[in-house]
Amino acid sequence: MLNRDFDVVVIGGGHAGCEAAAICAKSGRKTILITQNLDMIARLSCNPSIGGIAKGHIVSEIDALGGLMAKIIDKTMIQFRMLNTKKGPAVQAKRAQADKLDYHVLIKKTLENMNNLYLFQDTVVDFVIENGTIAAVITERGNRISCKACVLTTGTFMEGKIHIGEFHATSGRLGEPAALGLSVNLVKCGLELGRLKTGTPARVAKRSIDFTKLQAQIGDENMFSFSNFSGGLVDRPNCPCYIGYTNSKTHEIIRKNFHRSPLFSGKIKGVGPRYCPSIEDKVKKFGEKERHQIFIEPEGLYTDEIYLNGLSSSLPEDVQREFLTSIEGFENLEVLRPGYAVEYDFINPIQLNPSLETKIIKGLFVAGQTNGTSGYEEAAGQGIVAGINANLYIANEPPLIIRRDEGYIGVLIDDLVTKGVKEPYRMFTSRAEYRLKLRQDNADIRLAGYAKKYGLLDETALNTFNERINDIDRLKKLFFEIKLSGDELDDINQPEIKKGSFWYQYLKNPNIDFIKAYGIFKKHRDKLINQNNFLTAAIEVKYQGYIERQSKFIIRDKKMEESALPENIDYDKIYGISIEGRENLKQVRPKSLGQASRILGVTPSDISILSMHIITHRK
Amino acid sequence: MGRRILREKNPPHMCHFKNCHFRGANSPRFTLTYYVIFRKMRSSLGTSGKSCMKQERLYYEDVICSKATPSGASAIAVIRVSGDNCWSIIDKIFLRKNRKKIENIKSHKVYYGFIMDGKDAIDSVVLITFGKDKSFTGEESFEIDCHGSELISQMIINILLKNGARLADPGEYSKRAFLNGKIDLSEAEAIMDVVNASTKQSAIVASRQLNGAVRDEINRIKDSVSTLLTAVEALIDYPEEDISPDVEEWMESLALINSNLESLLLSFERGRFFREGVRATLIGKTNSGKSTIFNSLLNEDKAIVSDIHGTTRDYLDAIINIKGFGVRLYDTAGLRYTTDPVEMEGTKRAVDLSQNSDVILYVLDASLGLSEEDKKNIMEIDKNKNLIVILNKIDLIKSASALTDEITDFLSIRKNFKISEMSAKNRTGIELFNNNFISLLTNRQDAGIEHESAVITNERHKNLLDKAHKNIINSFPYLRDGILDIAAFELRESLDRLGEITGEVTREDIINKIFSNFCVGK
Repeated sequence: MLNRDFDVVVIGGGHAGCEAAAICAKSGRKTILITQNLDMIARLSCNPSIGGIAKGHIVSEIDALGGLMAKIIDKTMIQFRMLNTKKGPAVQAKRAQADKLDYHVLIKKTLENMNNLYLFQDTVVDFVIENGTIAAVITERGNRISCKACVLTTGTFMEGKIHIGEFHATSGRLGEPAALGLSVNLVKCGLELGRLKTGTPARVAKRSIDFTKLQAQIGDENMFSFSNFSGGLVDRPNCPCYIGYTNSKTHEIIRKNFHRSPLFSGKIKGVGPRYCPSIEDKVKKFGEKERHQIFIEPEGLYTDEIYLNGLSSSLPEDVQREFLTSIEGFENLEVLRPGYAVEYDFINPIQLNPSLETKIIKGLFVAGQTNGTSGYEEAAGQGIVAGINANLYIANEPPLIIRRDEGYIGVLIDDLVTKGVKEPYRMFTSRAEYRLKLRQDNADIRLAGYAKKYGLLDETALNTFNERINDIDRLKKLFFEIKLSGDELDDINQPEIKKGSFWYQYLKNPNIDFIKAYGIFKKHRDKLINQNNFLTAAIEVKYQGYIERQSKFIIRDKKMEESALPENIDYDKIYGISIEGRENLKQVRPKSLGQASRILGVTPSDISILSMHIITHRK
Repeated sequence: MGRRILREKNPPHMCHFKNCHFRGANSPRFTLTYYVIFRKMRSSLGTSGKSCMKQERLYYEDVICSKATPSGASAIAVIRVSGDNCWSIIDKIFLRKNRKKIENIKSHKVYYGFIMDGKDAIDSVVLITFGKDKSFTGEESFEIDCHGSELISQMIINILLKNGARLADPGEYSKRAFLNGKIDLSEAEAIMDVVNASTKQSAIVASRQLNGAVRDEINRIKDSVSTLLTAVEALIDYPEEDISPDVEEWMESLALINSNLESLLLSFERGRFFREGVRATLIGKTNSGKSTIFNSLLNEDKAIVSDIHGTTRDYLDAIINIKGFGVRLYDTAGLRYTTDPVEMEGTKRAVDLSQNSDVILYVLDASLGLSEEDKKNIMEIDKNKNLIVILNKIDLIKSASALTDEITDFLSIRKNFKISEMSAKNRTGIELFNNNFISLLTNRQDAGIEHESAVITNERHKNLLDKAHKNIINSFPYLRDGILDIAAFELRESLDRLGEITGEVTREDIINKIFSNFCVGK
């Protein structure tokens, strides 16, 4: 039996685990990543894409903190689309189809080549806790690996159970064994676990689809990098996706078989995500809809497997086959793997501090789907923060807590630890109060302070960043100084833009197309202008008034965020707090007045009382 | 009987609301015996409470005000004001008896003078100042002891609000006192009780401020805004779903929200009657008996009444109560061509006042009939103004019916008018006038709406609605052009502001609405 000694143990090799392990190793901690199967590191277990609204923002933030996801997807994308291009820059987002195999291989290889980082195939089943502090993990094979801190990222594997109609099996993913035993020991440690459900659609053979009956969806010609540091365009293959539709016959087949769905028969106990419903859910809840859209997406360059986005299902295989073949273009469909639902144990994140450390076990951090989130990006975003905080914890330094006005990752973690999770949590831009500030183009700027403070960026990235800041400042000033030339006006070709207008007036025009403006600027002013920098400067000039309005709220709220609540506060002894507020305060134990104010059931008067308490306590 | 007369001669704080009190704008003609009741100053707490904590200010720099005495008729009412630099408000709203500002305001001093609304004196009051070290809250403070009518204290509070104060939350004075170290720890629990009790109280107060109709109307608007925001958010967060925006429907919905907000805001103008009183101005030819009517309505001999034309060269005003409406009644100089510069100024003021009035009381000498000059004067009055033509000196003629018909005919192009026969000298026709006055105000064509529908009466609500309305207007072009990040920002902010009146709509609420309204996700 092995007996090894590390600074940090990362349990699980998914998107959260990989980011956590990489950043810990980068920070100089001797780190071991333990996974059940090294061939399954950083697998995209569901849809073959990364990014999207709010998720794409998170990817850029991970990049700003020195993470992997952006850099790897930049090298493995096989289609790129900029979403919401016409709906305003704050809600624009990048989305890429990924080559699933390449993504896995590249992450694995990156980790394999990192100093201080060790990969190890085994299954963790228990913890050694000394004085309320994590001391070691014990594996299935009886290995004891001691550590100063541990990051737990089990995904859907803790007590995982998959369902396909009447069939069910103890698995975390189809064909992969669940991680058993860990749950029981976590409960012994005093953590409460809950049960969630998620699902995935069938994978089918490309040759069996009649693409002439489907509508092709071609990616953007310009493929942008997610990483603000590598900046600009990437040169990658551009594979088409296709769009198809279910029909009334499909719905009829599904409806006829509701009774065979483990979802409706009560066999699945876990709560599923409303924003990622199975096709049977959609048919049931929106019976009046005549058709549902599906996206037909390639799984990668080296395979002819096709992913049917929008058709997630846990109906029996014969029913799946029947309803699938009722869809136009799928008449001769060859199903390679059926869709299925998976139930798994999760730790309600209300039991965590904003650092993602559990409140009851020191040094134990939890990230990813284990915290009840869904999505690769959400998992990776937590992973990197958990990793940074494991490192800071060992160094005995205060944790990194990203504020809600600094990043979607901040919104994500604050929501998790303040409100807890009742269904799988997915990020939406509408969850963010300060959406106009939390843009993808400025993720690096928003988080630069932390990246520098914790030394997360290498020298090249730092230099790029400094140049970028100077360039943006220069451009912002320039827009107010220079007038549109005749040639530029000709190219703009908008009658409402008058001769003699300044550049900023053009940018503030309601119908401004930033990409066009960039082209004009590049052509007439500066051949070498960096597109990212131009966009950030242009957006900030255009939205100046709104950004200032939002800043006022940020300053107001910051005051509340900075009013710390004492660690040892005894809510039972504070006179006058509402009953519901008191119960929830006791459970969450907020770190600041701001966090307290977001807890459900805590009233403004409770906050007044707490603020008084802070003052008397400080004395 | 004798007792009753005595009562009417008593100082104002003893009076009923009815003849509440009176003042001439810049005449020293009134004498008031003012009983200043020095209550046990609460500031004693401030001086004795040891500074056990550092002077620490967390969030409470703004100026708050509220009435400290209970509502309802009382001899005097006390209005408290507290907050950093709040004495600067005194400069703007208070004149001493000699009509001068207080030079160099000092702590714990008592000043006697007038609360001014611009040029108008609202009430004669006693004002007491408390410096930081002497005040209950530990902040610069002052108190206004005014006459005890609900209308007057409301008007004074409105003036304070206009000058930058806001209404205090329940228990807020105590809270500030506590936070500023004016009350020691042992008192903390008692304070918590206050805060807690007053939370309940504030709910009651808030629901009182918001009548059902207002709440319903605002909630309806809030629903429309959040439905719109939900559609926008769904489009933002689910760009790849086949949700097609119906921009036309959006614009219609936005236009409806806009007009609903506008009518609510307009109701504030109407609601002004309740808050600030109705402005009524007596105008008419010289010697038609305006001042006699003024006195009759006041039930006191306050204006100089004589039969020489042009006696009232300036204007007088008083606050009276007509069937529950607070009315600011102005008596003006008669309208006639004159070369006397003083009287010309008086005539000019009469015209100015009538333009700003809610009701114009045009006084005719019934014995002289409707002269060409009267016709000319009446023609000059805005057609939409409420007008009461008072046929005064009715005792001098046998029958007024012919005259009434003639006037009715003459006024037929107007909507809102009444004719009231009166003999001010004999004090007859006053009850009839009162009835006419009320029915004119409440039986207007839109009166039905006024009674049933939402009337905004609270300044704070009005301000929030104003801002929400601006957000809605701002969102129009962005929504039309599909610039959704800004459209959502404006809609969200308007929702937050409406939420400050009737309860928050959280982000979670909107997300839930997305899932119940749209089939999204894949």
